Amino acid sequence: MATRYYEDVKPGDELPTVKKAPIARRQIVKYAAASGDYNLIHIDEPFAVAAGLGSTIAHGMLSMGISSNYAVDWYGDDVVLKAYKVRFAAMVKPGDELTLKGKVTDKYIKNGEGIVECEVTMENQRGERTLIGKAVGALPTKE
Amino acid sequence: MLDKSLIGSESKLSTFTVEKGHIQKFAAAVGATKPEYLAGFVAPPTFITTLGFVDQDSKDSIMAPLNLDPSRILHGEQEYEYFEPVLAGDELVYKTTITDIFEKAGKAGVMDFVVSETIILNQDGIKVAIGRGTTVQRPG
Repeated sequence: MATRYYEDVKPGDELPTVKKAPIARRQIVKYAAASGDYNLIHIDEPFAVAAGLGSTIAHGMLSMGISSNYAVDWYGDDVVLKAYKVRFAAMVKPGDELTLKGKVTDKYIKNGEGIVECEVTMENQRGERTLIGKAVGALPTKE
Repeated sequence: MLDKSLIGSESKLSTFTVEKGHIQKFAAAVGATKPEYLAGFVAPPTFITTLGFVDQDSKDSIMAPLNLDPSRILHGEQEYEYFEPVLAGDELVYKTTITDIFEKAGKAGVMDFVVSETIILNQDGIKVAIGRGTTVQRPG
């Protein structure tokens, strides 16, 4: 990675599309352990089926975690992330193949900082959006 | 229907020690790539979600009086505002407030929504982040 400067981006710029490996049950369990969220709908198949979900579902926060890192990676080494907000639009299940996309939606100077806003989305193999996010990051300026 | 009189209820102040190994484990679980996250020095953006699960099984949890059914809850929305980085060794102090409770009619019945806000300070009393989350309970 490298530094990305405020002057280098403009609204409409697209973040590179990233296709992730299929969501693995092991990954969900790993996230449960790391986050402390042991709700059985994420890790116990019979429980999740009885709950009417069809199968276990990944934590929404796993998607938020993955997508926040996608955004931060694009912003580059010297970003200061100011905010990240998401809506979980659809459930994510083991085996789902998620694709990350993003777009610069706005840029402006605020309190002397170069703020760049991005929309970040995750969609599954059926093209359904599972997460819609908005990242706000401050990038260094060249001046 | 959930008890709307719980709007405005606040948790007690809690503390949370940010451990390097915990950051590393979390960073790996969310597929972080930045070296400062993987090395456990700086918490990745969503690490502070872990504060919300420390007392999840406790009767003292701010959510306990809502009697939500774990098999019916989903995460609807989440937002973080960041003011200062969270670093390994930080002793965070935080408090959660239930800021709204409402219902919406859905296809399968009435869905309950609970909105909460968590303010997080570090050991120097400096605000590091605010989290706002919406929990959804599906119709029973």
